[in-house]
Amino acid sequence: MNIIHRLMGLGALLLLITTFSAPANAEAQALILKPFKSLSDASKECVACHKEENKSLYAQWGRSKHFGANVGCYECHQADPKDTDAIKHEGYNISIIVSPKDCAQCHNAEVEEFDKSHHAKAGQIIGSLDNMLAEVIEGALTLNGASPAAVSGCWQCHGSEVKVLKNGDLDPATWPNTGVGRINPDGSVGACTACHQRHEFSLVQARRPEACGKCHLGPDHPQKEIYEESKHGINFYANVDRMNMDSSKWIVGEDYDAAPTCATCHMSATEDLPITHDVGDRISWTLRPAISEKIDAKAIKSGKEVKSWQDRRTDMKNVCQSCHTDSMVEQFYIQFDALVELYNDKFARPGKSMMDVLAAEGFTTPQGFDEEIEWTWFYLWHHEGRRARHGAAMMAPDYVQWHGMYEVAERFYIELIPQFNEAVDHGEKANPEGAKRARAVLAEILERGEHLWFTGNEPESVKKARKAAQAEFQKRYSN
Amino acid sequence: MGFWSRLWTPLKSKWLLGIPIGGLIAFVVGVIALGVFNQVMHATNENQFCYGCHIGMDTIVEEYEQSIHFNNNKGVQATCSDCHVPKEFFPKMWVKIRATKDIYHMLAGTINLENFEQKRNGLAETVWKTMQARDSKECKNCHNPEKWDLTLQPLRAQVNHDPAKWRREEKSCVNCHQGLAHNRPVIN
Repeated sequence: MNIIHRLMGLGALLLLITTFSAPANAEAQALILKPFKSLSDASKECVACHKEENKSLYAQWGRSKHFGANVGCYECHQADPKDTDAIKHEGYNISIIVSPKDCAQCHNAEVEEFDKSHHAKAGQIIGSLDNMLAEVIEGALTLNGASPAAVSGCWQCHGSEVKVLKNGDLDPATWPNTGVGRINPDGSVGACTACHQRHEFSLVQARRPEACGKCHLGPDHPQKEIYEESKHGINFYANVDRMNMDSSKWIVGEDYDAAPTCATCHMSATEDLPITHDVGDRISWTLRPAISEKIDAKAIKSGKEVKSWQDRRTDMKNVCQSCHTDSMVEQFYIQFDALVELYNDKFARPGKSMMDVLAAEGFTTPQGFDEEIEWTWFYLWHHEGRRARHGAAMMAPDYVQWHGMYEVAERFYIELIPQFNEAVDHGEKANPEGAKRARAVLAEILERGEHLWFTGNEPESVKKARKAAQAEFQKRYSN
Repeated sequence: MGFWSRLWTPLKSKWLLGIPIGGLIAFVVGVIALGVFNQVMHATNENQFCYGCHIGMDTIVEEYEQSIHFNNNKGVQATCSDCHVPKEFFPKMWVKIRATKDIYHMLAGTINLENFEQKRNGLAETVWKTMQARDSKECKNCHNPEKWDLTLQPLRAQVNHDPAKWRREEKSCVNCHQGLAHNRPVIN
């Protein structure tokens, strides 16, 4: 039998040589953990493969402060197996998404501050006006029940509600996403990576205005462009090498004085104030809604106790005073407040009452954006009105004037008022009493002093005084 | 004389009877030998056979019994030979014959509990190379790529479970799936 075996063995040998010419490209597949003496065993194992699989991620992590602190892959990507997005990978429970809950293992103070901020609520836009636009008006629910316009647009800044599919994948309608208010599968809210780019988490990157400019730009809130136009932005770009951007403490007036970035005023430390991750902590007005109000107004109405707008303004002034004199700061705020009040009183409140009466009398449908005047009004406050207010807040004259109040005025007098009259005329037959009430609203607005120029009803004395002033001005500078 | 009547005519030379008798004996012996051979083949494919030497020599049995290939909630088990011994006759014979050299190493004590961890990487690499050379055929005996539903797998698995990609990159199961039934070697 042994001979038979051997014969068979020989046969098998021949067969093996001829049949199995599959490539033997085996390299050492053992996990080589040599360079990582102080890293956790789990992270060492991750790195053993991923330094080859994802060379750039590995290199970025290698440059990060995390590397020096022995914070490796597993310290952040570790997951509770009960989390819906937990996956079993090489024997470890991990998740792709590192949420603020994970970061809070060490950075708990930052996450607590963030949780109080308006950023943390950015993902809760389902049902909002903007979301109606992307879901319905611009979009269609064609991507796993979501609108591609929302997926690649709104949600990339506001944050998606991340969903996990049956096969364990993160729903591609909701991930990849680093929107600042992302709602995570582990129940936490936010994405630190919205501002702190993974896997390097560079101080310089987060402090530069471009970090905020991913979202705070464009026709409806051009904060980034406003900053670039302002003296602050001009000085930043001219003197960026004197900004000491990688300093750990980075106290304005102490470590740098060339210019502030977005982070300087809204977040970073001064000689008196600590760093905050509540970006609204030093903001006194909200310039977002149709009619601006003080930032604590909503909370006061709902009986919630929050930091008062006065306290917030005091803190912002403290930042300003790191470079500017007290009186300059006071006078700046007088200018800023005046512009906001002007916009509010001359255009926003009147516009709002016009839109309200049209809706109340049934001259517009309950459906938003199906009538021209609704688009007109939206442009007025959501685009142009914000541009003017943000321009005044951050000292960009062109945004206050030509991108701002000029367009607000044209929109109001040349579009909103005619479209208002048209809507009332159109509905008069069905609701003559309502038409009377609506016309009374507009008439009352146009009788106000600041609108009399439009109807030609300015008192002669006012006209005369203006003409005299113009003549005086010309005489003074003509020779 | 016809064929059948000739068959029933008594023989003149008695020794000729030896032909059918000898044939019968050879047949019986052959059947018994085949039975024994089969028994040997089966017996040497049993876990108990492998355990006989490997327990106490190294820790691979203990590792295997911790793994999902041994212990799971599905009622299916992959035995040592399912992964390490081919099913086809000639490759199987080749492996079994080659394995006889292990008897020498067992008796000589080449691998023992003291030096196993130092030798683990080299041993594992030998096995990985063998499996790669067989295009991971022993894995595919159970995990049949023609029968799985890729859409039920997560995307990160789907993209790597594409046979065209395996051919392009000259890879098979074992290139990625290592350290499943025994601990993966670690170089510290």
